[in-house]
Amino acid sequence: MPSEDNALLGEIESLYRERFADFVAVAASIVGERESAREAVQDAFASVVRTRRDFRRDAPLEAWVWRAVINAARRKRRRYALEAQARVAAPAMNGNAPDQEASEVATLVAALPERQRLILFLRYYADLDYLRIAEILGVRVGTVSASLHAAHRTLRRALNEVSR
Amino acid sequence: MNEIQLRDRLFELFPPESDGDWDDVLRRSALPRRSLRRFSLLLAAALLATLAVGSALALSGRLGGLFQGTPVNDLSPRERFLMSELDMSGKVELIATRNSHAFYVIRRSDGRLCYSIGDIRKNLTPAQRELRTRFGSTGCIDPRVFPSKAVPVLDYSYYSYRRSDAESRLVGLQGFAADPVARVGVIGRDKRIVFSVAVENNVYTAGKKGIAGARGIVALDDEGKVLWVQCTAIGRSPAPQFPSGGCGRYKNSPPPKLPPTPQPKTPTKPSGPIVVQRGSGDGVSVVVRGAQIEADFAGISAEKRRLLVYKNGGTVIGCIKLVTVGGATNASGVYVSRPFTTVVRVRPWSPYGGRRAPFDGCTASGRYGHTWNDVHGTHDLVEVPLTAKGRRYFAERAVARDLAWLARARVFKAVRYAQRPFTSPSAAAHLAERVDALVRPSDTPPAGRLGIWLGPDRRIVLVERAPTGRRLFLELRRGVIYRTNLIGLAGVL
Repeated sequence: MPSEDNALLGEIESLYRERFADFVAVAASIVGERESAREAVQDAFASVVRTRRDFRRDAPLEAWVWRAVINAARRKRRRYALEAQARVAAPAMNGNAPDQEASEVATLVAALPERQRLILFLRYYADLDYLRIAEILGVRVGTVSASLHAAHRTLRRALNEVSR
Repeated sequence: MNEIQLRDRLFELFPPESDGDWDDVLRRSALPRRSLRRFSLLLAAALLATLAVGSALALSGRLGGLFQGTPVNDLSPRERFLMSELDMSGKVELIATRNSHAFYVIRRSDGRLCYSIGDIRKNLTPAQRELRTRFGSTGCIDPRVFPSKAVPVLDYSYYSYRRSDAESRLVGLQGFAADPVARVGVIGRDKRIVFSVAVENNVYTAGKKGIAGARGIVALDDEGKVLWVQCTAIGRSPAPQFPSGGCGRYKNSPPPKLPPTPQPKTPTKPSGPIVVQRGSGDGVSVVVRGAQIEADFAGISAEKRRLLVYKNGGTVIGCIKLVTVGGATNASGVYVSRPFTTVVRVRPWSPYGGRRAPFDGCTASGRYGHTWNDVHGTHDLVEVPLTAKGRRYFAERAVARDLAWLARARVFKAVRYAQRPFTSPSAAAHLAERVDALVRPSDTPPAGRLGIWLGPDRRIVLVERAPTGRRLFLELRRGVIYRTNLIGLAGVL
């Protein structure tokens, strides 16, 4: 139905406009580089627009789009950064010289396992609730909770050590 | 650092982007879809192909006594069945584990060795344990070839690329190596070794690492001396992304020369009389003579014919044998596609042999199904049992499919994953008129009805009674298939 199709396209566009910054930030946490993250988001949305007729409304549209963005970012990372071990370097991200603590946090966040880092960004940057994060990543809510707890613990311990 | 501070830090790291470019998204979406076809070449296959060429150079000696491991004595009936299907039945030994991979050697009774790498999966439910197979990438090879000085490495890596990629990548670098091999290296685009991985306990793995522009692999001893080279950048490149022009100073190692295998002068004929079977069902009569199957579709209706013939004008037909291994019955068979005519004759072939009468039944599948509550039901379009066992199998398989297809149906998702609070009656009402709520998980609904029971801890039991009287069930716990007796009848995971 063309009207339904147009409505769905409208929903996708709204999501893009409202959440663009969140999508780029989360993609950057995977790719490790802002420009590639933007590219990944553009590619993901292009793919979502192209395949929107495949979308079955048995899950929220937002979760479907988030999955597309995360997958696109992972593909980008595989393609351009074979050695990428979560190199989220602050100077590379915003182009400004970060302060010492921000740099430390960047390094620590970069050192987190990918799932913890991703969940950290989905929770605290994109402000998604546990259930939505679980839907997006295809894990249990308990896993989201445990991963966030582990990420917090790692960061707290490491920052204490740094500042000692 | 509390949550608010953490949030602030993340925003400092990633200052919010300005608005995106929606027009760019639409432009990209209108472009021809980027081909996702991946062209992969199995190096293992290349190795075997190279070996088949033969060489004037003699095998310079074998390395014996390698690959001793821990016997694997807990093979499931399904694993044993699959091994017999792939002609690799034998004694299995676990050689090593690396990260989440396990390396196995299978000693076949004919002396050949098969080498397999599989994933290690933990915390499996009883159903998952029954369904799993531990053997992923597997290759069987003449022990005179590997392990030997001429071929000290059996590598399972492959090349992968997309059309938009400038060059291919070597991925999945893992395999088995003979004793003197200390490292396995990769020859890069500049014809030097750009990456290497250590060999421990005769196995190696580089995990998911991919190496763009790789030209081949080398085996190195503990002093870095090159023991063996497999350069794949030779001859005409199959695509621009694949390197050509050789590997510089790394020249391909010569393949071993093996004594020629004596070839039979005349084709071997099966011993004994040719078995002939006849049967009919669903308007189709079938005659099987040895390996040849002849199906006469003259009696089918126009509606059935419409469902039987695919868009390309072909139809899929084949026969099955029921094989019982370790107390579990599985169907073994080969199906082939042929242009549809009133009389279709096929001779299914398998490299593993054994595709001859007697069969337990033959079927032709239709263009429908795999969705729960499909109006066409859960039987194949044409089912012709040739034995009593085959008749029972078809009857039970149809019921098993009903349960299995429900378990993965969209309509069942809300129940399976507890997206809404359901009770047994409300779940039955949510699904279909022919679904009954069960009072106890051990209850069985009348024939033709599907029973559902929901209990604490998100336990769900689906039950049906087959026309044979057998009670078939599927139990889920927290959304995961926990226990079932559908294995061998329907794919459920």
